[in-house]
Amino acid sequence: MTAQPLRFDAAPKVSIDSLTIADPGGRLILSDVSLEIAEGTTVGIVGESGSGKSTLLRAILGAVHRDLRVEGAIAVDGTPILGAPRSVVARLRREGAAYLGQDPPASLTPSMRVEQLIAERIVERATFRAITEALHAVQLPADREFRRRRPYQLSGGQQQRLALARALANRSRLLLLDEPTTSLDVVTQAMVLDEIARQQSGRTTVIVSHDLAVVAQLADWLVVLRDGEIIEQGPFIDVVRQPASDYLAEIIDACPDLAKKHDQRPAHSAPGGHHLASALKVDGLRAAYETRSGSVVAAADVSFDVHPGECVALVGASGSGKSTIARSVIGVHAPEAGTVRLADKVVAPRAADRTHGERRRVQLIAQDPWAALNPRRRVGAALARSVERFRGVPRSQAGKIGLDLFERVGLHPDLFNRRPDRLSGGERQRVAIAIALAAEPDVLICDESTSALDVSIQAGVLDLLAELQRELSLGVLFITHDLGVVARIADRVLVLDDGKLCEHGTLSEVFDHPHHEMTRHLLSTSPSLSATLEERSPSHIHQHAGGKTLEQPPPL
Amino acid sequence: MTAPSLLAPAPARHSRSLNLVAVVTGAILIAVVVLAVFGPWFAPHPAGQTIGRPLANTGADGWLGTDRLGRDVWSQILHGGRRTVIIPLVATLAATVAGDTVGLLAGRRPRNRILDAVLMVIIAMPAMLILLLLLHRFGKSAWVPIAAVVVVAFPYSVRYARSASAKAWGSSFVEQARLRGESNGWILRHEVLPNVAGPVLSDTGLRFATSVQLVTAASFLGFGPSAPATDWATQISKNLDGASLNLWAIAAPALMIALLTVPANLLADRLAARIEQ
Repeated sequence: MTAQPLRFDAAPKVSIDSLTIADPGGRLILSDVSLEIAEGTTVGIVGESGSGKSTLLRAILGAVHRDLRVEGAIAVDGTPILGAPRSVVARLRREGAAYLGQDPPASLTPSMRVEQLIAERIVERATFRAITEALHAVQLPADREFRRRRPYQLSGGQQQRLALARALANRSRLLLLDEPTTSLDVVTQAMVLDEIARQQSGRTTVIVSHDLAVVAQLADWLVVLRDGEIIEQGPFIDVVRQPASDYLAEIIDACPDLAKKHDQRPAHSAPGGHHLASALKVDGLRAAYETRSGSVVAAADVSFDVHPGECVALVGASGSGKSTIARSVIGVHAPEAGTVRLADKVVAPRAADRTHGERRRVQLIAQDPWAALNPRRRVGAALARSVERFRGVPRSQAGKIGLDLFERVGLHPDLFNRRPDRLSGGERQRVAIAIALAAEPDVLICDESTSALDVSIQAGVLDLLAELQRELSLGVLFITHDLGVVARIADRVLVLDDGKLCEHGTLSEVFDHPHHEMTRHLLSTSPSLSATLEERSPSHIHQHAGGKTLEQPPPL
Repeated sequence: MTAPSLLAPAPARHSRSLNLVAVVTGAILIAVVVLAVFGPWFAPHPAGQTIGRPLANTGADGWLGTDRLGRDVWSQILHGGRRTVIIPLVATLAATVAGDTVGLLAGRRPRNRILDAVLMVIIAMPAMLILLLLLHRFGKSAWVPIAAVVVVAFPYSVRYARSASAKAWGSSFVEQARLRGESNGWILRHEVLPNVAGPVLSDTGLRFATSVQLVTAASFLGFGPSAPATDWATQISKNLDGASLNLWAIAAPALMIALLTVPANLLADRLAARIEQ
């Protein structure tokens, strides 16, 4: 069999023809997917985890796990890729395509220098000049000192750029991106997306993401994938403005968006200063955490309070010490100074010194739904144990109460006896919420509790939290870097910069009239689907999308 | 649109091969242990009895021939199993129970300098040196190799159980357990132990193989039991010179040792993988 020679000097055309991929158990991962990607265009593929979007992207590189069964065809510039001889596939990967996966810095071998990392991806002779060009293409310096550095001697942003430079160093015209910004905070995400946007011209790009707002900034053509099937595709702006499927309308609605502030409830404290008893009050908190490179001040004289039934968002860039504040409040991190009051009573700094009743009052839901649940314990047993301990009821009754809570957070009773690895991320986070509720807390601290979830799942969890907050009069301290999420759930906003609260106020005060530079920076980098659509739409006229009016983005 | 061929479930190759290995190794292991423990009762000849000329070939006297003193090799195998199997088994159990207990508790605070120093000192001493010292001091009792194995294996078990459990101890689910006021004992039993049982068990299999090695090495060097008592390593060492005349006199006990250690290792691995699932 003689394959047509691949040519790599122009942006290629990718055709996917009724591609079907099934796992060994016969479950379909992709089902009859057909897609034409024209030369030089950018296609965004959007779908939840498990929709088969990564499998589809990797199939373009001829990378399908050997246990999977494949039918259909993929061709790059007319050259068939699936079932092609190894040499063809190898050449495509080496010379014809640039691939960037999740967590791009993880692709940098720590022991290799910048120049080696670039050189190994250059197809022809890796001359000094070729390396310089590759580095300059992503706005990295190319001086001798920089070339000799190793990845850990670079900043996070530089690592992101270097990973991109490496992917592109083979000068390929096909750029494949698999959730390249998913694990990033908004500020870094904005930087990476800018850089990718700069590299788009003259290239055919495919970007896969669960986040429509990210895809919105790059894609000409949108493909919506669900359970392995394409349920909708078309020109990006048209499809988003007039979604044909309910599913896409749902995704659009679920997108965290600065412009979609929830309806404000009446303020909990009168402007005159008459306060209701606060559920949590933190005064003059000073705390630091240790890293390899020294001690980072997480909180320098931080004071705030959370009232019953109120959601307060604590916002700041990654690494600004938001988690340390949360850990100090629940008493697992020793602060240097400051007091924590629960129900107007000062409690001991260490959880071990607090009474059982005090520990009950504040519960933490952590970021990582994997780490929070014991992988060897059935979730129902873990939940029942929490009920038993905090409510002091016998075990038989605890199981029943646990099951009620389980259903209260929207989980099917069938999942009660499962281990965490048999649950999805969203289900696990709901279990974590149920376990926290078992304690009947006054205050719930959510530490980036939804940032590891797909946007559509995240929306469901946020709705649940808002509902619980209202019905149980729960005070919620929501820690996040995502202002889109803040817009959806928070009543008041605290902005943290360098360990200090640089801004606080109600949601509309902070979003509409930001005073501090940090707030403005966070607002400008937050991806906003509606704002992007406004920008990209040629007419700049208000239009309707999915029956929802797209508002003008807040003045920045 | 989709071809039906894709929808038919494929046989689950992996789990079946896993079970097959477990069954085969388990059967071999049980057979060897049964042979070793009950062997003396159905040996054709009493221990140490000469039945023919030395180093006779297979068939003439007994199906594995005779050793250098004209004793039946098969009978000697059956008489020598108990010591070869039971001493390392008891020693391994003692060492891992002690080591894992200390290690699981030490996992709470993995950086304990005093414990580290003690472990390093023991690890720095050659295993054989410890064994020979104890043998010279306390004689050829069966307890000496047991004690030696416990001393030698203890630090490795501690370190393994400690690093396996440190992750669980530092996890946020243990933190949560503390926040709801659970005792250390409860946390160890319900949160930590289930997460480390698999790795610790497979480590025990490895420890067993090394303790067989240590005990047999001592016998090979002449610190084995005095005749007529015997074990497999002693048989190998005593009959080495006659290998050209009757290979079975050393091959049979060597094979028995291999049939003990290799399946033990494989089985522990499979059981661990099973617990992990």
